[in-house]
Amino acid sequence: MRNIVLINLLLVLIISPLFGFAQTIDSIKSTTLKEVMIVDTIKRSPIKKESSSRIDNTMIEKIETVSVGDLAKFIAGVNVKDYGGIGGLKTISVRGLGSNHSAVIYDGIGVTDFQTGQVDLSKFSSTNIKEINLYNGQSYSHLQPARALASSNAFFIETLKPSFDSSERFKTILKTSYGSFNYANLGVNSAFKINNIWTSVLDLDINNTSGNYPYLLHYGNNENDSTSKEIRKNSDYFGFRGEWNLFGSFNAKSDIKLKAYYFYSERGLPMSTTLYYLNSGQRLWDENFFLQSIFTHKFSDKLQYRNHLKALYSYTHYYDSKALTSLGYQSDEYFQREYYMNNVVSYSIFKDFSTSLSNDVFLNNLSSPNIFVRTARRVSSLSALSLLYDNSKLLINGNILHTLVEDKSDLSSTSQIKNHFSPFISFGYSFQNTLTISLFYKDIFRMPTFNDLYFNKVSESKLRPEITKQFNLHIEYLRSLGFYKTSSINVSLDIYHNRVKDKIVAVPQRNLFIWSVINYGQVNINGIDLQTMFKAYISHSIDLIIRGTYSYQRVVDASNKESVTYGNQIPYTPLHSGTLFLNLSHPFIDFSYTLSFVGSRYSLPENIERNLLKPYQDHSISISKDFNFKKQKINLGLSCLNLLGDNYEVVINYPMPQRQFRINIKIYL
Amino acid sequence: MRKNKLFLSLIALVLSFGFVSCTEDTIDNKPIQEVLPKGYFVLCEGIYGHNNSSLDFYDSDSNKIILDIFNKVNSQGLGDTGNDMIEFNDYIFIAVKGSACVQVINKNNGKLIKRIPIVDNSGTNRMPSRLCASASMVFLCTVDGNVLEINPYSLNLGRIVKVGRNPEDICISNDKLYVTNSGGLDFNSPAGYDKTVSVINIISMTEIKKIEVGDNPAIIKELSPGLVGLIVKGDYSNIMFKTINTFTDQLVDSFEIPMLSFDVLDNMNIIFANVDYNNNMETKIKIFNHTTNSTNTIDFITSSNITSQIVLPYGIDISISSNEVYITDADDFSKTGRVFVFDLQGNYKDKVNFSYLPSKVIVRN
Repeated sequence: MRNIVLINLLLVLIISPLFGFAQTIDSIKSTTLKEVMIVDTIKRSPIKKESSSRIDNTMIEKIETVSVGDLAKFIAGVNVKDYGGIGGLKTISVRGLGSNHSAVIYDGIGVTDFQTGQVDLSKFSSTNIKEINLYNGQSYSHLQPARALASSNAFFIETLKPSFDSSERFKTILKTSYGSFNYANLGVNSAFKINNIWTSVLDLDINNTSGNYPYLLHYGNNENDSTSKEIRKNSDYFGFRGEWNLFGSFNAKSDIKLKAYYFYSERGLPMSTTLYYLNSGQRLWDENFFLQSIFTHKFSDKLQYRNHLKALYSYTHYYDSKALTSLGYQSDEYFQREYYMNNVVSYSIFKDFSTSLSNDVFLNNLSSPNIFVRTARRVSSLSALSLLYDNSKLLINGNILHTLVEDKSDLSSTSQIKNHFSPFISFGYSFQNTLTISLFYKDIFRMPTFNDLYFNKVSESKLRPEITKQFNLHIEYLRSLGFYKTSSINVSLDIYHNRVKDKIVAVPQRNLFIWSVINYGQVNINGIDLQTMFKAYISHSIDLIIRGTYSYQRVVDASNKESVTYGNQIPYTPLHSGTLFLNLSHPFIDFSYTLSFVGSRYSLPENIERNLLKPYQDHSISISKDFNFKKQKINLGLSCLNLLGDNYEVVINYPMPQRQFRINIKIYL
Repeated sequence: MRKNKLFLSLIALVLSFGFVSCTEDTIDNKPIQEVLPKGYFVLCEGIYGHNNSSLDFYDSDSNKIILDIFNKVNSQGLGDTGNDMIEFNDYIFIAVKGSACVQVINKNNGKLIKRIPIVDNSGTNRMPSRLCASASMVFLCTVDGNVLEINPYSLNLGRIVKVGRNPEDICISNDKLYVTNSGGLDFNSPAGYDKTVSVINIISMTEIKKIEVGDNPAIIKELSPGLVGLIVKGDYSNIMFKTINTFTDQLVDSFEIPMLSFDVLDNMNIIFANVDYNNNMETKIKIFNHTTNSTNTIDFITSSNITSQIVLPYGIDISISSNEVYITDADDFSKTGRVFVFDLQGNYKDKVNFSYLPSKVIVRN
């Protein structure tokens, strides 16, 4: 069964470009090529797409998702570790590097969690997302914060910004969804053009679900082992997100983007499904508030300046009413703050050749009133000097990043200082504007998190940063096809080799309560990402989009030749995975189909049959239709997720929901 | 595909212990026979949250390993974190901590007789931890701070008595139960470790005394009639071995000997295991005579190059009936473990790979 799906997937991937070759060659040139460098957006160049994977608004609108975590699954090379349900943690690991190596950039500024080092993408609702982009290595924008360059890969999330006709001043979209397991969502996005300078956008979003979905509990891995039908308990979720954006465009030279963001959630943590005892009393509260500003000024055609500022407060409260402590419960609270500033200048030395200097300074602290170490503090400075040569055919980009980190906690009287230089280099060449071949090399590291350093162990350890090295070859074929209006085909293939050294792992010592965090081992990664996108405008009324991805990841433990796990695939990394998205759009009805396929993988380091997690496929379909009432447009959508009701687990003993239905109503005022 | 995997893991298994093993061990996947042959059971805790606790069996007649015999016989897994097992007549009682139950199986064929839920009135897991038995009763201590009676004939729960915080182990001596209250779950809270051993009269099922022994007491066993020995772990930097006279219920001796686990060799000697965290994780398996005042120890293992192969000695079980000493090795807590078998003189006999975190061995003759 899974082979058939795999073959189908490969067929689509292979056939869709052939379909393109078979057509007469036309000389329509890519329109993206001619765009000039605009201060506000990432530089458009055929090569800028190198190793980037994008999910655009069309796709986001047409597939049924609740959070960005659901969307990330459709990017090749990404493994989403999904603990199931709407409230289940969703973290990404890109190309086997681990979730701590991905930067998440939300509307231009990094989102951080210095406690765990990983960002939970289930916290980002997909309702107001314009597009998401994954840059392996880094993006080529010149006016970006150094933090966006300081990770192995960067995941950019960009929210919707309205565009107004000259006569319009006010636009509102109301969105509501209802679905299985008492899922309800209510969202409003309201944009107001105050005057020619200022535009305000308010976006509010509430999600609620009881999360009590059914699943089949297996009492063993063998086929004849008993099973029982269960309902997921303590899996409820309530989330509220409010965002207010203010855009100011003073003249052709300067603009400012301000954002105030507030997020609150309460959820039950259902825990792993333990045989013979399914009862969890764990709850989690999250609160996030931040203010950010991005100011850009163009001094001249040659010299540009941008400033990023952010202040963040976050609060996490974990509570276990069933913990067997002397108090009769366990309650841990964590407070994090961040103060962040970036300044970046870009200067064009001569035609096609520019340089930029970006510096970030930020202060992070974490305090926890209940734990041994009460406060931990980190001051970081990141400085990047970049050079870019780009004549639309040849692109050479390189940068050197300097990191200076000073840590202090109330555990140690002296502070630890870390000082590093990290290089990045890439070359790209574009043939006939249709075929692009590029290469990059990146050497970067991640700092140990506050959890690694202070909150997980008995004695202070001297952890080194975890280093990653990436080598990537990217081949992309992109062309417009002449046979119907503006059909296009895009195929990209990435072949990569990555290495992780001094991997930071937590290991139990002495007993299972006391863990130590150590630098241990090495991971070698070889992989292939294949992405194809085919768009055809079949007639006046029918548009077709087919998008397919396939990933091959060989991610092996290369730590210790003596170990039984040497050469074994590391846990939770499938060798094969892929996705398919198909959309047929017609004025009468719009139909979408998505498939995500994940091959077998292991739940523990030893690649033995007992640790094998079964492959799964998740098929979903959506239909939607627009209705017009006077001036208003109403869009009505129906979706069925996990159509075949596959009973699967991404993380062992965290069952995913089976078949679910949703109804969506969008009203454009 | 599946066959290949199996084949590969088989090869891996064979290779990994083929080097040292003096016998050829193979994994047996055939249906279980009606009556099990001679051999020994190994309880493997498994990795928390993975439901992969496992009762494995070693068939010493044909040198075959039956992994997860509980699952194979009963078509269901043992559960999450099997913490301890004891035998009583034809039964084996297995305390499964995460799964909130005691599984009672027939020792002769592995069949499940009864699963006894160990939950409180609100349905919350008491976390069954360790077991011991008198001539007519099985006793279970639970992490929520209680000792429960289990009638080994009716398999019903009996009386319950409250003890200290987070009991770690239980043993019987002189018709009294001795329960080490570790307070381990408060290790990073102001309450800190518990430091007592609860003494329970098994006739009245009441706690008659709490003996103060020091922070974080752990494994406790009867050394000889009227004497129990226990490990007091403290904050792990000053681990002690202490003895209690069970007639007077007073501490007798304290020895500054770091150890992780021990079992009783004879009335005077114990065999204990330790890993020296300050010295390159060096494993030590030693004999200690607790009747003298000295802390001198001697090496138990006489065969060379064996001790260093034991990565993490998790449990020691000495079987007088088979004249063998079993040392379970939990490796690094994330890989499958193994059992080293010795004779009572410390001569190496065998090394067999089992499931995750092997911790306890029961011999079937």
